[in-house]
Amino acid sequence: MNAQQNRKPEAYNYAYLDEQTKRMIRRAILKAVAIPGYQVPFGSREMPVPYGWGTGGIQVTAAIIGPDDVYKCIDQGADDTTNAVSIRRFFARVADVATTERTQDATIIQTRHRIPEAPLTQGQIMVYQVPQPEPLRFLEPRETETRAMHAYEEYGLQYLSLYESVSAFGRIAGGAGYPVLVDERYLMSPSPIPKFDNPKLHQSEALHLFGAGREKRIYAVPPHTDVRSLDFEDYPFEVQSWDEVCGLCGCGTSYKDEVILDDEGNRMFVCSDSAYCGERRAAGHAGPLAGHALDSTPQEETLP
Amino acid sequence: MTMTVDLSGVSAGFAEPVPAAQRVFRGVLDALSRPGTLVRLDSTADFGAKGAIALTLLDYETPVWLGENPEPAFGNWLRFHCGCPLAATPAQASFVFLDAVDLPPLDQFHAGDAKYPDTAATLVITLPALTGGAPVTLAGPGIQTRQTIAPLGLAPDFWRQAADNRAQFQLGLDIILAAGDVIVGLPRSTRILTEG
Repeated sequence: MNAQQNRKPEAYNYAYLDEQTKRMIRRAILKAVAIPGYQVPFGSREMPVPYGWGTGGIQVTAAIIGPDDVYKCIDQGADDTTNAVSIRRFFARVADVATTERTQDATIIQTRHRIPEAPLTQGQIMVYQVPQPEPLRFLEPRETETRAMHAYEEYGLQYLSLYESVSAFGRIAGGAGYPVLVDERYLMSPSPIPKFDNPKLHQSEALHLFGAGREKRIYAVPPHTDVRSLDFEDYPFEVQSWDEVCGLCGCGTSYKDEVILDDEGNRMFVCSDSAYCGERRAAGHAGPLAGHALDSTPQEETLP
Repeated sequence: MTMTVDLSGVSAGFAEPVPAAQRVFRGVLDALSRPGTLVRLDSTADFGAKGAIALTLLDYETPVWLGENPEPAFGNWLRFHCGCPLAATPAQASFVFLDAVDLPPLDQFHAGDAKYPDTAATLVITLPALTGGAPVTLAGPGIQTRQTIAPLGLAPDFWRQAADNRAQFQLGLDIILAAGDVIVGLPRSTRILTEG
């Protein structure tokens, strides 16, 4: 079989994975939903990208996706980064799905670092690519121990870590992967989303599925589930905020990326959610560095 | 011991297994994500919802319990299409398919263990109807405030057992009630507020 034949999608099952693998992942997803925040072990497969490129999220998506879905994929909030474009093309090719950049139009949103700014709605599924599913791993390297800590709800070590952060920095430091308690039972890493997005998990309208390919774990937060970011009474949980507005769309409430402009220290802040920022500009909003208003909406990409 | 199975009575499974399993799985996922919501499974498979769920989720890794005196037609159909082993005892099953009238006490099934609660059994309980029974109010993950269901045909003490099932969380059985091709999810995370 030559390379050209190899590229034909017919050479693969629908959505790349074989049916037995899908059944195994589907059973794991159902258990994850039934035990919110608990990490279900699963038989993670070799994928056509290396570990660390989203293999867990890709496997979860492949197990749930169907031809009627509309698929969106973001990396650091942006639809147009290399990883997001590659994964979106992968599913357009192997799963025959429509793709979109508009959060409101998507039924499945695969993400690495962000929850979109636009509110999620009932029926949408967020799929997270998780590098390290175990929130306690950097405090306790042994899986046997962390598993026992989850089993018996022994989360003192996590609070101690937060306390040490307060004593060292005067606040609970750490901007991403900030630990949460799901339905007041399981300690969960929300994957490396910024803590800015943690409140969006609480009582969300959408279903949230987390896949860690290298670590072979799947976990979930169902819709309308309590998700509480850990804190102390005198050091309450707080999210990032910025003094600057988005340089392109002027938004003052979104999560911002800092972009260095030159070697003299000039910089700008821009919405990390590229689809949200683009929609605002298309609607006529302009930031201090926008130059001129965009006159076109994001174009649907075509397969090569 | 050799066992002969009469295949002449085994009817077809999914006409198109890949898309059918995907649609049915999304229905089951929806039902367990939003407990107490009636979900119609998009399937034309035999045996209604339990047949569709079996074709979607079962294979050689999932021992199945069908009761002490299982209906041979369903058992043969399952073994042929899914290749799943039939469990020798209720406690060994990862999936259980029973009519409500045949349901033994729930503590006979494996509820997982503290470190691996995901090993607990999933029960698919077939009922005459999912409406028309005594109303029961549910709360918990997947439910915004309260959700009321009124399935028909459950034993009088089922809801007390379901409340006990929730009380032992993170252990617990995950239950799917089915009538025809409609299901309602009752995962172990669901709280039973009023007993029917």
